[in-house]
Amino acid sequence: MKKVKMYTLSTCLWCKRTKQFFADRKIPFEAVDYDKADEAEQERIMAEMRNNGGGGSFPYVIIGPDVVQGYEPDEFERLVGAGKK
Amino acid sequence: MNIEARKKALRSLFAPVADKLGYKFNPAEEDVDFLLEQEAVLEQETGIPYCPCQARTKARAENMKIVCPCIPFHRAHFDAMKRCWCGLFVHKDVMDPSKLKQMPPDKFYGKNVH
Repeated sequence: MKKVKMYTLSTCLWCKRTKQFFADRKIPFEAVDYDKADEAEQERIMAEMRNNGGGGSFPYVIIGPDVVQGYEPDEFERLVGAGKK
Repeated sequence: MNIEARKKALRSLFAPVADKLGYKFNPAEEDVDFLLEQEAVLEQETGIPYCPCQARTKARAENMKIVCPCIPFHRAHFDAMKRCWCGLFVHKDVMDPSKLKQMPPDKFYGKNVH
């Protein structure tokens, strides 16, 4: 199974729904709330997002080698499904 | 002012602004209530009702672009989605917001525009 990591905001509705999507399917994931992180971690997260062409819009979901910015359940399903077996 | 009262005030403040921009509050009332609550809390903490789904950084000029309603700063992108990023507002002609998707900024503007 592909590793799932996400950057989220504790205030973000779509971040909550993204976490719920993976929790409902019992897919393990690591989530880091950008707004709860310390300054150094925030700068690192923002640099990583910008290096991948994204800005500061959340959620930012890394599924294996792929990145999905925004709540896109069909894309989550496709990318997670592609990693099975 | 308590959070519930501020949510109500923000709703009154934002409605005419959104209307002039061609937007309205999302018909999904539960989502609107949640988002306004986050904004009221952010305003209580920072003095400014920032978008709850976009990150603040040390760059004040950039942060000003995510003050709600942030539609004018992302007009073309939001018009293409028919909603703002957090979904507090949708285009006036939207009846079913569940069909609207978030389009990543880089897919709309191209890579490294931020």
